[in-house]
Amino acid sequence: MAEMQTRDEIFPATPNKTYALMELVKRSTPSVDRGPDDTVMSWPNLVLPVTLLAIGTTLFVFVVSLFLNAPLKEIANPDVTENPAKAPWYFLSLQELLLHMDPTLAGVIVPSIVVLALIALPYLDHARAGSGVWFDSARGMRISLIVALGTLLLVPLLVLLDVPMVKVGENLVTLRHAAFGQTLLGAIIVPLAAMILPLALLLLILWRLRATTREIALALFTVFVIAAATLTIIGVLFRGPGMQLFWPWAMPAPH
Amino acid sequence: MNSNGTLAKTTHFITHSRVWKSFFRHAYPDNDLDRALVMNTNFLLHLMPVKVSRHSLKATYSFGLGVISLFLFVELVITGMLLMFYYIPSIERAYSSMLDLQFSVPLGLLFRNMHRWGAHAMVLAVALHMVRVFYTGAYKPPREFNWVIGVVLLLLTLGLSFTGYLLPWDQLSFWAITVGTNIAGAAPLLGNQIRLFLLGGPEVGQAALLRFYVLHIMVLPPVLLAIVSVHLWRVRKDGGLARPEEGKS
Amino acid sequence: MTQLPGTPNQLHVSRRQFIGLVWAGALALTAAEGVAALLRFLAPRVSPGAFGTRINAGKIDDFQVGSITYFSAARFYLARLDNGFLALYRKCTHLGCVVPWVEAEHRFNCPCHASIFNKRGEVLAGPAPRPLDLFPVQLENGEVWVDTSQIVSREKFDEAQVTRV
Repeated sequence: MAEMQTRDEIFPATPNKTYALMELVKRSTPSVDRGPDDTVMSWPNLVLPVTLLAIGTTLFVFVVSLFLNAPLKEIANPDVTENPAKAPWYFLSLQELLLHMDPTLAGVIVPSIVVLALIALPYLDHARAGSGVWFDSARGMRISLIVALGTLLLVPLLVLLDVPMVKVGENLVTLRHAAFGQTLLGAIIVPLAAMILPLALLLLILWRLRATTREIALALFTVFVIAAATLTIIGVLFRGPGMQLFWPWAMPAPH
Repeated sequence: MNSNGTLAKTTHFITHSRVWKSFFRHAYPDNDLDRALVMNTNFLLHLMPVKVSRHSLKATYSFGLGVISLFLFVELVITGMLLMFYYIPSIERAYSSMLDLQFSVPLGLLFRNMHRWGAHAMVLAVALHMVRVFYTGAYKPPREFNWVIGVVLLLLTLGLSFTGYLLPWDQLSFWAITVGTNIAGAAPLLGNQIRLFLLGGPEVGQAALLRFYVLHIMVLPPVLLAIVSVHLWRVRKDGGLARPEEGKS
Repeated sequence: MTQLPGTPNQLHVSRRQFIGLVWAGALALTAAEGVAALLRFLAPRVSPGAFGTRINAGKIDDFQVGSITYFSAARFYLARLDNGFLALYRKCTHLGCVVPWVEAEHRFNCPCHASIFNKRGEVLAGPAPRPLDLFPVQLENGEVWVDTSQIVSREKFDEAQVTRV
């Protein structure tokens, strides 16, 4: 009854009008029921920053281009492989994975899962709450930070574990290669376990913490972003001739 | 308007002429009516709403990364068209046209640099844009589909950058593309077929250069442009940038 | 659409629906033809005489036992083993880098991801999943022929892979 009164107070029904207020719904609508202070005119409040960003972006690229020249090596020669032969930097995280596992797993299965997970994300975490808020909550931010730190430590550790360090005959090979050789176990099962076990542990902890869907999404996305960034940095700065690891300041010249 | 100075008179004459009025259907936006009209009647500005929430204007909310990506794309289209005047997609002449651009075409080096660094910057900006959208939860309903479009745009950006990478035809580009396409070749079943179609042969050669060139200048940019249009349109239709529910900001 | 008396209810397709289905089918078929035509047009082609055809490598006697001869244009190494010939595709089975033969160390060293192969193409170290791929070798009238149109991949080295002299 209270609702009826409100409705009639706002918009009394009269028989000589062809329109009337039918119902009051408690829900937010775009801008309409917000206070006038919530929005400002786009001109100049939005137009100005966008224009400044346009100028700033162009100016930034222009100034960088004045001082830094794009690389151009000698003409392509199919007979002489560049050493190291690196893919463009945004694929170096993939190339790093390829050093440690079967090409199908590293080059196809892992990236496909990542892309599919990204596409599925908004349909899995579909609660409206938390939209437009950085890290959802203080707890969400804490989870993201801790996961980021953990990933930052674990990824280089896993890479270092797979460095050639065992002498087999005349050649230095990795622990994985020495133990399993070119078997299914060494190329697929062990690397797969190295990726899945930490993730499973993470999910177990989150489950014990009664984490929300959004917090699980925050944790998994953080693993993806930090792992990709770390692998990219390793690929760009630390991989030298023969894709061996070097310190960036002790990098031998490519030959 | 009532000043008698020559400048004021000329300005008045220009802004009250038939030609000017056929261009601009509003007076100078110094009042709310004209501020609304300028947003609605200007083709470029109509991409933006008349009024915008204060929350979306905060620099630390969006960092302007989407806008930066868009303008980097515009810059890349312009410098790319300029480079096309000199670049020849043939394995005999591609590298020498690069040398030409570097050493003899006036400002050729500058435009090539801008295209190269702009491309790297765009990949970075698009990736950071995705990271921002994720951490602010801006993919949540009703913006789910625009997030999916965004993922497609990220892949298209990578495709554009990758196809452009081969074009200089130097050792760097040749081996990067060889390694990159062999990753695709590792896919079971269709992997090798996809690689053969992409390269137009078993190894990176003339066919691959031409295919990458056509993809880079003629196929992917219009596709990206079309999907970016849908992306921006959806931003408006989904109610602008994501913001928290009332009373929680 | 009225139903004829006695017609069972299931599988009833009205004329309107039927024509609609035929149209949809015809459109789908046309689209499929378009895609097939596009794929045919874009399919890679092999030019005669180049890599991808049958190549004469030279006289059998020109190759010393234990030697490795590089055919750059045809993309293979011809290995003269104790008992015969092996034509090894120069592409690393990991990610397709060209593996150079290092005479001093007597092995193939892949510069990309550090795979190492011996002269039979077997993997000694590194991430390469298989030995180097082979091309079929035939001996005719004292000459060595290598068929580069067929890439033979193998899981491990086997004496049967060697073309015996």
